[in-house]
Amino acid sequence: MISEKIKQLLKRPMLVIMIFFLPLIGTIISSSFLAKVQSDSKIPVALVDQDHSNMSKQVMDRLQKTTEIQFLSLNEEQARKELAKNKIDSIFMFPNGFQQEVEEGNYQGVIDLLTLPSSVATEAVREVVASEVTRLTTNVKAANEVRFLYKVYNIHAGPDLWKEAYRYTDNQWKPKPLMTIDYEAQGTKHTKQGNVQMTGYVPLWGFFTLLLCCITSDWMIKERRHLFKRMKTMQKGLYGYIRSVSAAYAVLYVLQALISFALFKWLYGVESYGVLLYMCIYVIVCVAFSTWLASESQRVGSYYMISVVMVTGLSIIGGSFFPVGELSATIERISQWLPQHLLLYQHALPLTFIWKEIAVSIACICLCAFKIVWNVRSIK
Amino acid sequence: MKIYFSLTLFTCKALLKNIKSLILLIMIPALFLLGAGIIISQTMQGEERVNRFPVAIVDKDDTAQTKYVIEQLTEGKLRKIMKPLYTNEQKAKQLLQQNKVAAIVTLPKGFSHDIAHGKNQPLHVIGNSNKPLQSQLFRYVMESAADYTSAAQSGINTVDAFLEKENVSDKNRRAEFKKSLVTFGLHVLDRGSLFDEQIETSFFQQDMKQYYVLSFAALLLMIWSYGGWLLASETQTSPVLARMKTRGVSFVHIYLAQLTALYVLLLPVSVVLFGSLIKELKLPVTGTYGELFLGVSGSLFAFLCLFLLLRVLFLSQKAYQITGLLFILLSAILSGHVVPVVYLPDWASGFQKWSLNTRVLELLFYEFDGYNTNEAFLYLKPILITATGSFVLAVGYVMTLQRRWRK
Repeated sequence: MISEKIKQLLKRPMLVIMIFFLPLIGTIISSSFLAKVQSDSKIPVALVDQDHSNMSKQVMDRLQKTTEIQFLSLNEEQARKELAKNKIDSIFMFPNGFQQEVEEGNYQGVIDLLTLPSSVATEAVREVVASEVTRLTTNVKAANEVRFLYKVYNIHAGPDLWKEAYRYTDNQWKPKPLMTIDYEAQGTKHTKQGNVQMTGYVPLWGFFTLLLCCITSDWMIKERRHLFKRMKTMQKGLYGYIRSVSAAYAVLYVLQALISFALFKWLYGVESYGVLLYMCIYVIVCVAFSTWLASESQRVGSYYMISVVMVTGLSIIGGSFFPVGELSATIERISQWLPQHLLLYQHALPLTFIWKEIAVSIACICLCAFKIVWNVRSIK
Repeated sequence: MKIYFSLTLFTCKALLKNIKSLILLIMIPALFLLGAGIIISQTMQGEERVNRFPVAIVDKDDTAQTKYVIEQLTEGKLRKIMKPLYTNEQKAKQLLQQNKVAAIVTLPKGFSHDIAHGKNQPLHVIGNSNKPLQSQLFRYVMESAADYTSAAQSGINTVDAFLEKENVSDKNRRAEFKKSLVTFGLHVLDRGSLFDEQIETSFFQQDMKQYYVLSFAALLLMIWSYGGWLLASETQTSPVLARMKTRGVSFVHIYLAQLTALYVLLLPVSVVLFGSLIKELKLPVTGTYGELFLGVSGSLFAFLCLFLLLRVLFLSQKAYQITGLLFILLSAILSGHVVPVVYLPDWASGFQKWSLNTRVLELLFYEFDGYNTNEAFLYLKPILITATGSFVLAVGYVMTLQRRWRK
């Protein structure tokens, strides 16, 4: 009966296109779209040079070479106007006497920083600016320290001692700083600083697949009035019919998962077949969940609306669009109980470690099946 | 006209009869956005804005110098976002494989010797790909921490090199070296004091919560409009529609009646939503309450008209459901509902120029103590133009359909 139903479903070209290609197309388009948003996003910050000294120019030049932040050189009035319109994140002002203060070793409050309560990137930008200014202040501090120690140990100091010590300290940054980071993302070597995509394509595929499962499960509502009554009189009965239709859909979705995995492997180079296992478990959960949701609903319109909101909500908390669990421990704890959590492991973990996620998925399938049977019993 | 009024009344009654679905339409998105709001405000509370994550540190050199470097790397603000775990290489790799750490930092053998002699020996950092946000954040802070360590070390090396050049005794040099470790270490740790910070609270908004409250309220109007059309399409089943058509009821009548019914039912809910936001969160209103009412009702009408256009273009419920959802997601991302437009790429401004959501957000920000130089009508005008445009296009398309059906 399952094979017959599969044949019937495969005769509907629109359904076949939807099941097999829509999640794939949706994943590829939205994944590249989100990657583009992420890579092209910039933090606009204004730099105001009121000192016009060598040091302030040096800091401004070095900052403007930073790729992740868009540093704009503006005058104070322009910068304040842009901040008022919320067009920039913050203003870093090098006031008159900046160089003199730094040379004298008075570093406290040497840069004026203007922010808005809505500035979300100030902390990160402040670190970037501070690292450039600290380089200068350390040069000055080292030169001052050398001059002081020469006095302590009664060493004759030449007229250029301070400058020499300053230059010596600064030269240690060339050609490379004393300390750098060699970053590797679990097996993939990254020599250059580049963006790592925050949203994986497998979690995004999970969102589209769940959405589509909900759309294709509307048969449960549409066939309820007429077909279900007839099915009760058949030899296999209504439960047998529901079981076979759900199983037929599950088989098609597992096939879809196989095709998607093959394509992801070809396009993005997925590393482990463990991911395929998680995808297969996930689609079965999706079919069970959507069939249950449809069995609870009486009307197609309200079912569509509720399913859209539920799928979007579950996908957001489950981390399909963005790894929200990494932002808060509470969300992380909640997301561990959602099937979407299975798909977050782009690099498959051993089964012994994700037993919890697999157990949750199996429990979810059992609960949905039980509730479907319960709901079908009440159909008269 | 009589047909229109009777049909509107009929649609209203049909929607109210299906009260369970109507309440779900209003409550589920509201609760969903409330949850999202709580999540965002929770993550915005601490300045670290990320869940504190464990990082494995492997010190293969194990000297006083490496201990100082580790202290430099893990102290200060870094301590707020990460929990350092001191372990060996094998155990660290095991922890990474089990997804228990966000990254591993390895200080190689001979690190202290090289850094003291001005030789660069990079720290090896392995990020956990299963924790992309935390590992990427850790990478950025490590790069910044490496710069600070370089700064401090360059100062320490300078002092030592100049004393060595002048043949200062080893005992004194060692004493000065120890002193330098402390003074230069403290110097870079004190980098926060470089800034004299002022927060301009009089501009734009009072805090980020206000931004997200208004942004999500606007998104709620959009989702209600989208869901409303899904519910409205249920009110007239195919046999009812067929009967209506034989009695001279046109498609235009049906869609106009549905639009009016949805507007009549959703407007009081929207007013209650904004009223409770003003009351509960004490949001300051710039203009008059009449202006605010006009703004909210105009925005709701514009969203309903926009989804009417989408509804008539995609007569199949499934097609409308998918396109509508994608449209909402796209608008939420690019119009500034999730991330303020200032942080979005330049090319997104092309979308924002034509996006109704951007206009509605601008209007709401004006209404709640926002830009104080212009009038509300200036912000309402593009919203009403969008509403009229969508309405005219939708009606035109429906009339074409009607003509085809008659033929």
